[in-house]
Amino acid sequence: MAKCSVCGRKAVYVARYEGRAYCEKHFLEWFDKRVRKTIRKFSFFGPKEKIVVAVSGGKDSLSALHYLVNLSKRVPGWEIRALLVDEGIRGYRDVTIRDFKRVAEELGVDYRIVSFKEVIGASLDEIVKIGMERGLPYKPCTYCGVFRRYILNRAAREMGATVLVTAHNLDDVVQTFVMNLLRNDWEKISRLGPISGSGDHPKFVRKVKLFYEIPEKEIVIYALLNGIFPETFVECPYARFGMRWDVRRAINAWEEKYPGTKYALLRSLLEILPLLQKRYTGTPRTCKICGEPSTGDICRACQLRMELGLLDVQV
Amino acid sequence: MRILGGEEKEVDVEGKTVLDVLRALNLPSDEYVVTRGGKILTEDEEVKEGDVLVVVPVVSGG
Repeated sequence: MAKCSVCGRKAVYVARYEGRAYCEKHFLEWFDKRVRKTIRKFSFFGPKEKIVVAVSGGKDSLSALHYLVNLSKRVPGWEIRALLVDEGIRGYRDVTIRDFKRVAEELGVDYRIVSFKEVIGASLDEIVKIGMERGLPYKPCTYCGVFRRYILNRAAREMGATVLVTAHNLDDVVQTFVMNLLRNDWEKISRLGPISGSGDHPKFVRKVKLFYEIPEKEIVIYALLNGIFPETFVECPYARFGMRWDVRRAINAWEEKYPGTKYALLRSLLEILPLLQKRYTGTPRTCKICGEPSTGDICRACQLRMELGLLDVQV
Repeated sequence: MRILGGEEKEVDVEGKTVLDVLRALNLPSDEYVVTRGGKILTEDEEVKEGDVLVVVPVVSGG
């Protein structure tokens, strides 16, 4: 039985990459210390912030909300609210919304729910169907990613956010890094920093990845120990369509064999990021159709909406 | 043994630890947290005949 490296009590977690183990109490202290270190290191927040946390109802975003609400008790200048994007995935999002509402109410946090249907004109299930009928080459995660980012930025801005928090964790970041290495897409890698959307565009809300340096498994343990782990476990029905599924398996197999692989990948990413950001920084532009920030004349969300027949404009 | 969101099944495992159970089920240890009676177990924890384990998936998949 593994014992806590701090107090010798029964451990709940062994961090093989640093050769230490932690009991419940010292796990939570260690977790808190490292998230605060990330916040300081990357200057995520100032003393006065209107923080909007992007939530899905899954364990990562519930943990982010729980963590920040508790931390904000020590920072009087912070105001915390939550924003949930309802993509409209039957049997999945409708379930996680229930878990989200339960935790939000327990924490006493104000929240807003915005749906794909009201902003984009169709739910993700409908979009996937239309895409297949029209023979479009995209996977469900492509539509979901583009529209979700679009709605998050717009809705957070409407809520008066000075910063938008996402619960992206170490695993998410290194998986996306490796996926884009395999596709030779360095421009996408250039956007994998801990802070994004920090361009000069007045409609951009600065986005920070709260768990940038925290492995996914540790977030599950945080959620379990705090009693906020979602009551019902559901997996997104589209999860296994993507390349991420295979990349995740490969990285986790490497981590098991060579502990510390994920942090080594993260350090590689942080090493190359300044060069990539210099290479790919373009002046942010404004979409001619919707007026939202864009890299080209028309933003990716409007392009997809046109291809899906959800936007009736002549360009 | 219950795999959250998955099936409930009984397994016969050669070996004595949580890690042996995960390996027998072909589950990577970085992708699952195992609990018994609501308590989180480390991978070297001994399990015995008749134990009821809950295997919590780390991957939320969206």
